[in-house]
Amino acid sequence: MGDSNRLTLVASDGGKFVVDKEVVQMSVLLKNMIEDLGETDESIPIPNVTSPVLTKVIEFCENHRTDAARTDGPNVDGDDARMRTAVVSDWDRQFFDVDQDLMFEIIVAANYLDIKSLVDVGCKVVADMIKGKSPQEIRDLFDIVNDFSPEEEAALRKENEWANDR
Amino acid sequence: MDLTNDIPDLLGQLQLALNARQQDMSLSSLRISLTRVYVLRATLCAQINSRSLINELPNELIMEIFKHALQEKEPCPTIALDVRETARVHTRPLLRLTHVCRQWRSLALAHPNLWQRIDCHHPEQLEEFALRRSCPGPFSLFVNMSKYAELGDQSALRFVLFYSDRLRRLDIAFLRRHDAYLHDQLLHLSCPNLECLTVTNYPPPARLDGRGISPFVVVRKSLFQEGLLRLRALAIFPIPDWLPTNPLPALTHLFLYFRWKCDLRTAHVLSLLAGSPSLEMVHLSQFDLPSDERPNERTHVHLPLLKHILFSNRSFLSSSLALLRQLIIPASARTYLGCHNVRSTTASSILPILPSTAGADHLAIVNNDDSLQLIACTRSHVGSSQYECAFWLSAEETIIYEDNFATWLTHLPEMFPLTTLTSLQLRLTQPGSTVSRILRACPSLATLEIMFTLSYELEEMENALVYVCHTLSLNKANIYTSWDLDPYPPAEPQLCPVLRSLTISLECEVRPIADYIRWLSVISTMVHARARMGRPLRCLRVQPMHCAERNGAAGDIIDAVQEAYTSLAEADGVEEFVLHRSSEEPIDFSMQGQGQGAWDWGEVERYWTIAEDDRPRFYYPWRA
Repeated sequence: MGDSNRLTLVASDGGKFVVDKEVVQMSVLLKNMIEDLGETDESIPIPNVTSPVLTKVIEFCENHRTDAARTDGPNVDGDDARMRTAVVSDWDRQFFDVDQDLMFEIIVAANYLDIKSLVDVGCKVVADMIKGKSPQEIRDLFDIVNDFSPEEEAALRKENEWANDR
Repeated sequence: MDLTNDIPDLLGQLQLALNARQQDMSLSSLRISLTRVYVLRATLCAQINSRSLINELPNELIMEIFKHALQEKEPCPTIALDVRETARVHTRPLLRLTHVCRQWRSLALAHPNLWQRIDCHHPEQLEEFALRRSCPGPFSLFVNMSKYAELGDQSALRFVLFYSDRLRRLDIAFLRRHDAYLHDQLLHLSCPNLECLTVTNYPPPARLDGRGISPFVVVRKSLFQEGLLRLRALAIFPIPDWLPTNPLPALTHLFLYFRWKCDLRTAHVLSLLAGSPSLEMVHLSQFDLPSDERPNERTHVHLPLLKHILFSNRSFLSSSLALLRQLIIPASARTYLGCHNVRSTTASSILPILPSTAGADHLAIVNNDDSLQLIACTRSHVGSSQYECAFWLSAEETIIYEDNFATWLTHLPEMFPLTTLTSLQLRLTQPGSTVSRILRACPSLATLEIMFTLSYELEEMENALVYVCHTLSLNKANIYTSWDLDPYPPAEPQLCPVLRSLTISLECEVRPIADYIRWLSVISTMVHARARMGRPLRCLRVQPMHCAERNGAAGDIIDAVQEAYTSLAEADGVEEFVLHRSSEEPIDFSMQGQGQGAWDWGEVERYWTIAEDDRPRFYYPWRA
């Protein structure tokens, strides 16, 4: 019988990660699975998440394991006042200082695993990348092309007049 | 055969064919081809954009990113006299997001909640946002009346106001010198779902336009056709010649800026408060009531949910206290009094023991010439070492040659429960006898932090250190008399018998080293005396030269003084000794991180941003 406080996660590429149950319980999905499984030595497969992404997700959860706001805490998403004031910590910003591929994979994985704090931080980091940029700068940043028709472009120009109204 | 790789080749062939034949094509044929090319282009663009990493996120996550990207530091208008300083919510960031690509645009347009805040003057935009993009959800409207007056076009605004049943927030602002436009219509709309109403610079009648002609009378009148039953926040800046008479059962936040020279009866204010039993935050700026009015002591208003009550920005202390006496508020309600024109020698400036001060366990008092700041804190919970700010007074005398709050301070035992106080911070420009009188009223004091201001001009200030140290050394029989003082302090019972932690900071101009050595001797004698009496100081923190560098002290003098004071580490009974450098702040008067941090300013400013003049700010005289 292994350590009852730890369990093994198996990434989509077969990578195995032995982690504290307390850490992975930041994930609502895993928390529910653990409750359903009860005491068991079985590994938990995470079919949608690769080893590099799971490594980062576990790193985040371990760093935030002592946070007061857990999955059973207040729902940040629904609270405008908290959204207004919340800022991304230096550690979180450093955590997301990765290439875009990995950054978005982490956010998608966090969404799949239902880790609200990680989703929230990820969205804020992306939002910070967008803030203050023109549409073309945003397109360049995320490899997006301008797909508006000439008629739509005319409508956008009209809206730009509104935006310039101060 | 890989058909997907054939497409570029096929397009190349198409390009060649077009180049060869375009001269022979009819105009209609060219146009049809162009349309097909646009369609083809759109298809390719859509495919490219769908593979952008950000667009592979689920729509709900892209929306979350949008919401975060649209946040601003000040999402609500600043309540300020000058509308030009008002922080507006610009639509530019939102429009930018919708101009990136079709997917982003359709996503944003499909979410009416993104378009609920309308802060614009362009009539077409007003209609587009209010009637289409935010529909069927609620919307918020910022109306700068002066701007509409300049445009001379109010039709779009009038049209939008037909849909006022969807209005959730209404901010009405005026610039001075403009007549009111549409104001009657605005204030008599049918807004059954209105949750927040702010009225800034609502123009008073011209004859009353702040020119000091005569006081104008404030009357109460009913606003909005169907009442304001859902209104949660109301700010009026400043109060015009009316106050709402509507019952406001859901109101939690109230901000009122009182205009001097307006004749506003206490009964009106009390009636407004009585009609708002859900109030959690009451903020009264520049508060004053007619001096000829005697409050009816039998009238009391019960505000059981109140969390914060603030009187700010040169409010009158006597008026503020008169109102407070007529309110029944929970002990947990934090109270801030930011008052000018305080007459420290008059009875009307003496505080009653308020609900927020009744359980005070910690007091911080900073006094400088004509100003005084006082913070009373309670323990965050029983047995905790953390404090929460419960009461904050920031007062200034404007009567020249009053007594620098000396009289007021003698009433301290009547105003605060000093007998149960365990922690005290003092920085007083008062004689030692005044400080000792305060200490005498605090028999439970375990922690004392004092900054002494020592000055050539005020020799009695210097005596304060000697006086206080001496009285802290006396036993009950007053037999310890190895002091050479003139005049000799009167016999007193032992001060602060359970005092265990003492912090002394000395603030002065640069003095000869001999002076610092003499003060060292005074402190040392006191520490030894208390140890001999069985009342040792376990923790001693001393700062012999506060802000010495700024006062021009040479480095070698600072070092010599610091070196001399290290001897206190060996004083009888002292288990913990800290010698603070000149640049440190050994006494955290404002209780930062505890006192101010406990003041939930985010909640106070939930609906609007308060202007600087209306914010509590701790004033450090030595940093001025």
